[in-house]
Amino acid sequence: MGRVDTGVPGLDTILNGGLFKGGVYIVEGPPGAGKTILGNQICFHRAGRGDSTIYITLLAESHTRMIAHLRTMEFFRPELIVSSIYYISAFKVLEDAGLEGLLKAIQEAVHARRAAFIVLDGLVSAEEFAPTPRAFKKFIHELQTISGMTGCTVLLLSSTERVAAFRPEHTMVDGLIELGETVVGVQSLRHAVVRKMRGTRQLRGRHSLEISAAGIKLRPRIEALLHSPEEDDPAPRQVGTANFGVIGLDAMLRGGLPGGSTTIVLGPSGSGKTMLGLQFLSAGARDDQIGLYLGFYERPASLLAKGARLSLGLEAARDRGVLHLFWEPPIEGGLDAVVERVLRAVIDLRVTRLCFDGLHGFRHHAEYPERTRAVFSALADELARRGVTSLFTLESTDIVSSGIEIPIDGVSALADNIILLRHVELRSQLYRLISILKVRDRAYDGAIREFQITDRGVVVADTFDSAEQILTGAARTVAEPETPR
Amino acid sequence: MKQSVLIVDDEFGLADITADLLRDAGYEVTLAINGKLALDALAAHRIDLVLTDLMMPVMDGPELIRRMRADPRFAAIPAVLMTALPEAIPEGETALHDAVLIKPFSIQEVLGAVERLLPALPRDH
Repeated sequence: MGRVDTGVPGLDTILNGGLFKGGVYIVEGPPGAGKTILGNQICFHRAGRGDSTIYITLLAESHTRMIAHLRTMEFFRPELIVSSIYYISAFKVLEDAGLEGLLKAIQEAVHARRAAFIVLDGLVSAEEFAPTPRAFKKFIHELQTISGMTGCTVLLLSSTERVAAFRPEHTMVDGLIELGETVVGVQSLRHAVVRKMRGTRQLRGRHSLEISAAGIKLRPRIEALLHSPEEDDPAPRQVGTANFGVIGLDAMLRGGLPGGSTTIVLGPSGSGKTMLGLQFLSAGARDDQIGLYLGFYERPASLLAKGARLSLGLEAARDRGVLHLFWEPPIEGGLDAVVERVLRAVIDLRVTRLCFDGLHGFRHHAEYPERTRAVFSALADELARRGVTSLFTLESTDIVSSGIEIPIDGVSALADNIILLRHVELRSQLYRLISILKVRDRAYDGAIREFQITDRGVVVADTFDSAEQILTGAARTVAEPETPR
Repeated sequence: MKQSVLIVDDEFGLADITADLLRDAGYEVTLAINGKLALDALAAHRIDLVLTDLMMPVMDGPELIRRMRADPRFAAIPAVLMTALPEAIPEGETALHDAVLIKPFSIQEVLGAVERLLPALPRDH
């Protein structure tokens, strides 16, 4: 069976290629969920592809009002109306002649206009006019017969408050798309779920949906999308070693981070995570490795100023096109929007080093925080597959703590490498320490070292062995303290 | 004898309201839900003016007006196209209809169009 692409951003990806030609699909959801916009958007897209389409309403609502609203949408092209998009109201036909009359009218309209795509808006009205549930099922069945014989794809829009409820017609149609809205905190989040799609493997789960002047845009749930790689996708690439340009740290790492690996830099606020990330990108830029910094809190101008104080050469790197700085203020759109932007940049800008600063901010983008681990996993896998060496900073909760707590469950197991930054109190003064907790499949120096941020960049000193229990953050002098270097 | 208006529209909400308005203004009103039924109504009743929607199932407004103009019995009856999409009126159709009412239209606009096209005859007697 041929496919009919909808032209709705994200929907064809979720449907694994679009609707099937001659299929009958239900789109259901409460009023205001976006059904009418979706139906019209697909009609305009199909009309733009040369299809004859018909939008049939079974509602008492007037086309005049609907068209007045549609005029504000960017996909609205009046020149397509009448020639390729035809609006008719069948409410009176339904009222006068029932479902049989309605079927006849649909059949005549499809035949007369040689329609390839029709939207029937107001399936609930048809159900209300059905004398029995059996008659309504018969109507759906006969509609399928018409669509099958003519190859006309049919979208049935159904307004219902009980979106999750099972309905007999759900078993009959070729697909079922649910649109809905959920209030999370103070945010109202739209979503779409493809509950059923015959003949293909759709992306399951709840995908975020946005309505703007451009129409409807769906963001496929990124963890579902990335776990469905295409057959011809490139295999993961090994790209050597990615150094920091910091002698002490590169020595601890036996040259640098394994290329294409995922690293978490864990540490409290002010411990130097961002600086270490910028140092990492700066080192890459010196070798013309294209770097991307994505942060949630500091604007690019502030980062460049910091970089200048540390002589990291960020501004020059940016001007040479080997460094890109993205700022992602908290927006509605969530994790999927952030990941989409990162991956788009990685592909378009040919990024090989990424500093994702930080995962804690990323979690604040999450409509459903429990998704953070899965999305991180999917993103890390995808970056590795593309040969990107990625560094994710993650803020630990306590400035000086006696334990190591990873604030997002499960991410440590997903990371190839973990670098720990700590503050240590010694004689009423805080010092920064760095240690490596894990490097996957490679030897490393696990000793704890002092870590300084200087006007020459990040400096990692020799092993810091003057205090006890440093890794637990509870250092106390036992005798004469060694003077910190 | 009252002047008679035929309203042709598949959207009966708007058609009903317009019909009530014209009846209140003293016109006799007949309703049809598509062009084909409108031709039947033209044949069965004396109609002085046709107000027709653009897009309808079975037969649309432009086709209805084309058939009216081709039939000597109805060729002289003034016809008004009603549409929310004036830009969607097929090119070359302009000469066949006498006026366009852009939906949503006001009471004054519809009464004005009807009175302009039916000025001579008395509405009530």
